Amino acid sequence: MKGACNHERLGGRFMLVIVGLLSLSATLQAAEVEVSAEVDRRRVAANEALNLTLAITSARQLVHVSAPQINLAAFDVYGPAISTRMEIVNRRTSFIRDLVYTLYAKRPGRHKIGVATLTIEGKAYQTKSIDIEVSAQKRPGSKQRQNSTAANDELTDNLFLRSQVDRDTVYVNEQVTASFDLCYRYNLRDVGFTQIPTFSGFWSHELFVAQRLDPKVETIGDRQFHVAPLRRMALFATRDGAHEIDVMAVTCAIPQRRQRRSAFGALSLLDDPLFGRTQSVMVWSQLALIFARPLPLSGQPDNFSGLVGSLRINANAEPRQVAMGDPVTLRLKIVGTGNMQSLSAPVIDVAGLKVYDPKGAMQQTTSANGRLGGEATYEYIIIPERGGVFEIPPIEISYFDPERHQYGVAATRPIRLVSEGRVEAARSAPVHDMTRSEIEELGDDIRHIKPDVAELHSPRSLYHQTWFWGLQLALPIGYVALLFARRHQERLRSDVAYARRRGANGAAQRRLQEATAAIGEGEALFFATLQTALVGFVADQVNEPAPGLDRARCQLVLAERGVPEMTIRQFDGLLKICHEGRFAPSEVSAARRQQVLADSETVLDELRDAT
Amino acid sequence: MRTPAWLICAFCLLGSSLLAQSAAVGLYAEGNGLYRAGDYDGARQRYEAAVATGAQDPRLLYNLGNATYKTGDLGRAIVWYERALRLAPRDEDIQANLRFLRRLKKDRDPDPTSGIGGVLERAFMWPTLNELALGWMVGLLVFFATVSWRRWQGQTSLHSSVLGVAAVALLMALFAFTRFEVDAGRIEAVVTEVEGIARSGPDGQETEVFVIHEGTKLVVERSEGDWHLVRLDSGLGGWLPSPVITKI
Repeated sequence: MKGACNHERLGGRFMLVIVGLLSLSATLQAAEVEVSAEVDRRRVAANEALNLTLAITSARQLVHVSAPQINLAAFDVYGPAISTRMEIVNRRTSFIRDLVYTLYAKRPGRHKIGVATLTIEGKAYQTKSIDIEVSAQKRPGSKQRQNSTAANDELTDNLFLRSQVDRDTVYVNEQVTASFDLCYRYNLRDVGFTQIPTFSGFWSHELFVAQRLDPKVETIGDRQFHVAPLRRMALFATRDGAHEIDVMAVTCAIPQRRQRRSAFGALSLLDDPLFGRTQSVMVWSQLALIFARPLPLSGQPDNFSGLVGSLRINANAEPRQVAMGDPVTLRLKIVGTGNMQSLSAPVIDVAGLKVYDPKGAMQQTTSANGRLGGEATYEYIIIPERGGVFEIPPIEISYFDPERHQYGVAATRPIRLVSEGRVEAARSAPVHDMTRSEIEELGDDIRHIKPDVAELHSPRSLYHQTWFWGLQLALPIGYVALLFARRHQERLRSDVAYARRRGANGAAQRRLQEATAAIGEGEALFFATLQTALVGFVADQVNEPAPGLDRARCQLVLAERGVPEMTIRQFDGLLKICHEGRFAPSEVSAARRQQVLADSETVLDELRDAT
Repeated sequence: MRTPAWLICAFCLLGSSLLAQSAAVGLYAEGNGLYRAGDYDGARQRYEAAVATGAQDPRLLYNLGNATYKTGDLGRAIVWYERALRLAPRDEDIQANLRFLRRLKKDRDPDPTSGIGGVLERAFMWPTLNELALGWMVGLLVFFATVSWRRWQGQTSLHSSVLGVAAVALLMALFAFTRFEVDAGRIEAVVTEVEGIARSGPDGQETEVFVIHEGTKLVVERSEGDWHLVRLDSGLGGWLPSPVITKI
């Protein structure tokens, strides 16, 4: 059956106006805003489109209209398409905003389009609900209806979704391939899946899904169609009985039908949706029925794997001769057609052989004609637990061959293993899913202890050590200190006054030591040295030449630097003593010289503090 | 002249430390002797006594792991190896024995991350925190030395070499800090009972979530009383009572 529908508007005469003005309050605004809901028909076929128009009429242009709240649960909804227009009737201007929804009923019966609620400028408006009758099939009616049916028939003749199955009777778990193709004689646009079959009652595997239309020209009946494959599925019935393959639904845009047919036919470029107005249509596939026969009970092996198809099996073990406790790897390869996912790893149970759970891998394949198959590989680790010759019996997998309608058995050849020597000790530790290398490693023991040592360390984390953080702090501090030292050095080189002032104390100390050394020498030498120390200190402090500093000048410069008067007086007194000692020697005793020297040191200390 | 009290205390501390060190070495040697003689219980006691003196040498912890395993205590042996590995993360013996014991335990570990992610993860965990801290310290020293030398020479602009050293030091600091954050925020433990039932809450009446077996390593996310919220590498989480696990 071809199914198609058209939601083309059929003109003003056909349209039913079913809901009028809302019950608005008797305010000025009541006359200013009206909201109405209309449908283009109240009786539709199950696959026909229905247009619902919400019209908002206002005396002035509305800035903001909220999205309407409307219950359309019984329909598949597309849209709304929004358009605005202005009307002037009897010198009165109206602004009309139309929201057009395209609806498809989900099932036949009586349905209700719910009340639409809108809030405009803070005020709520409501439409009335609309009853819709959806018939299971299109029915002839009025003349307009007949026109509509004719239009739909034309559409279904040129656009339909074909579903095909490669066989309608299969065995349980035998593959049936379902194909869905879009057949069309229009230029299509915006093709999209709307409904995907669930394939309940089947184990399904997707063989192909179209990402874009890739059509081939095919003659169907006596006409040529573009046929684009959309989906291809491999299905395996999980139980016997009749199974329905649901319908698939696709929407697409086709050129809107013109009043007069194009002279170039349906495939005309003039009907290209890119160049004209389009209409959205939805097409459904047919229901398909598959009958799954039960597998025959007679002749069914006890260990039947459940696979319906064909199988080949091959096994290989290496090495065939091992020492007891050494692992043997047995690789099993199963190649076949059918639903290989239903296979499980065969169990190998031989007395005296420890067989670990196998590691398995499955690679699914699809043949050119869409038949599903695969290659399963299993790797078993086998360890002889005693010496002797072992035979692994044929590993068998039974299957049902649907071509020959009988059961078959795929089997390996028996495998002979020779185990030499004696097992030393049974492993008590549980071992699960180990690889060969892991099991080989377990054949060893833990490594031996570390030897004796002279001392044991208790390593502490560096970041727990005080010195670590101290050093982090010391580095920037050291850098700042270095900057100061560098600055000091540069200033010493460039600023003589600064250099003399900084060196004054050291120079004075040196001269005082010289004076100390000269105590036992001549009186004149002692006092001259002491005077040089005193005057030199002041000269360095004030950056003046020492010869130019007499007692008066010394008093002046010291006073200028805020030295206490008492200290200045003491300093001057010492200078006077030195002067007299140099130029009027009077046999000053050594004790007196010591006293003068000590006084000089004291005064210099005070000067240092004061300047 | 009186000897300052702090000096006496320092000498006392040093003396006791040396005594403990000497005792630990003696116990370690005794343990080794007993182990070689096949007295694994005796060896384990000596090693544990050595650890009780405060010694945390990775060799001692490794030998204790060996003796613990030989006495049939798989879970605690893994704990000792894990502790030893934290101190000597590239010690081949510790790695080998730990690998061996992990294969003996009942619960399988998830496969290590492969590809670039795995390489990056291993590279991230390769250096120890001490090595990272030392790298950061050396980088900092080199940086300040370089900057100071250039400054002393009277060059005030930042040369590209200085910037390079600074970048390396900064990267090292970032690396160390990130690792420290990861390590500090991660409390790991090992199941040391034969079997433990993880529950949906910190109570014995809560629903069972999964069963875990001896030797499995897990992360402790939170503790409430005697219960710990643990998470496995697989992402499974549940509450286990304290006696079931031992923190590494």
